[in-house]
Amino acid sequence: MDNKVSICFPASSEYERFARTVAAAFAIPLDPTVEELDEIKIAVSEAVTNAIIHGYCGADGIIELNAELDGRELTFIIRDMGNGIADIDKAREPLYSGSSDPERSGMGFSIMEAFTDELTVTSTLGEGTTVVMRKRLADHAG
Amino acid sequence: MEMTLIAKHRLIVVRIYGEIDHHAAAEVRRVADRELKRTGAVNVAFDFGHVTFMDSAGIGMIIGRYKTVSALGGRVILFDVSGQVERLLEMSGVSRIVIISDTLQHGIAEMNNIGKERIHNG
Ligand SMILES: Nc1ncnc2c1ncn2[C@@H]1O[C@H](COP(=O)(O)OP(=O)(O)O)[C@@H](O)[C@H]1O
Ligand SMILES: [Mg+2]
Repeated sequence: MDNKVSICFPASSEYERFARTVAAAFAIPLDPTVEELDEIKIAVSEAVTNAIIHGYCGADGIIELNAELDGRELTFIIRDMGNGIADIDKAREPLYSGSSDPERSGMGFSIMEAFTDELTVTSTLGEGTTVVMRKRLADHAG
Repeated sequence: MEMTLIAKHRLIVVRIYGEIDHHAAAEVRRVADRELKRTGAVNVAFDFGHVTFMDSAGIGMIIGRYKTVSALGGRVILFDVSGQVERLLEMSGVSRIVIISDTLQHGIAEMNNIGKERIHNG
């Protein structure tokens, strides 16, 4: 069974939970481990939070979440039409934050990278950012 | 969220319920900072026993409180932390700057420097 889901929602912080819950629900038919489910939730939460905080800077906007399933491989695509990222390599460095908010840890991309199998970031200044994360779930013994 | 003051240790204990993301972290930060100011406490302990999810916003919130209480000569204690949260604390280096303990009592003991050594000796 291969399938796809596409959802658009407002760039507002109360939707962070909605987005990661949808992502987790999408993975449920594959019977993931508790740890895999948590990794999916955290990774998607990071990408969506970035779209809200950095992409749209708290202004109104729409975030698109696509989830795809191919065998036991999940793909999550999070897209915003916000500010874009000037230097993606720098943005992906651990502990780097381009935000003036001192309480941003700069760990978002590192976490996405650690908790998925593949992270691709594409971005154009003034047009927006697309984050693609692939995660292969472990095969079940039984 | 629930808040308890332990005046003897100049410590506030904040029990967090549910999920700590960017949305929820703002509220934890607001309450913790307000209570630190109001009570004159210099140490803060977060009860993670009822936390079901945390992302990097929680890391940022903890580092922020660490900076606040460090300036006052105080410490941050995190207790009853799940394996998933602990993994994030390790990854981010937060585990090196705060006290992580199984119970509040052990956290306070470590804060007051009567941690492992003395217990073992005594
Ligand atoms: N969707 C996005 N749109 C614009 N900039 C982004 C986006 N995602 C990430 N960034 C930039 O990359 C930096 C690093 O992101 P991250 O690792 O999540 O750390 P943090 O969110 O704590 O700053 C951000 O501070 C921001 O400058
Ligand atoms: Mg981030």
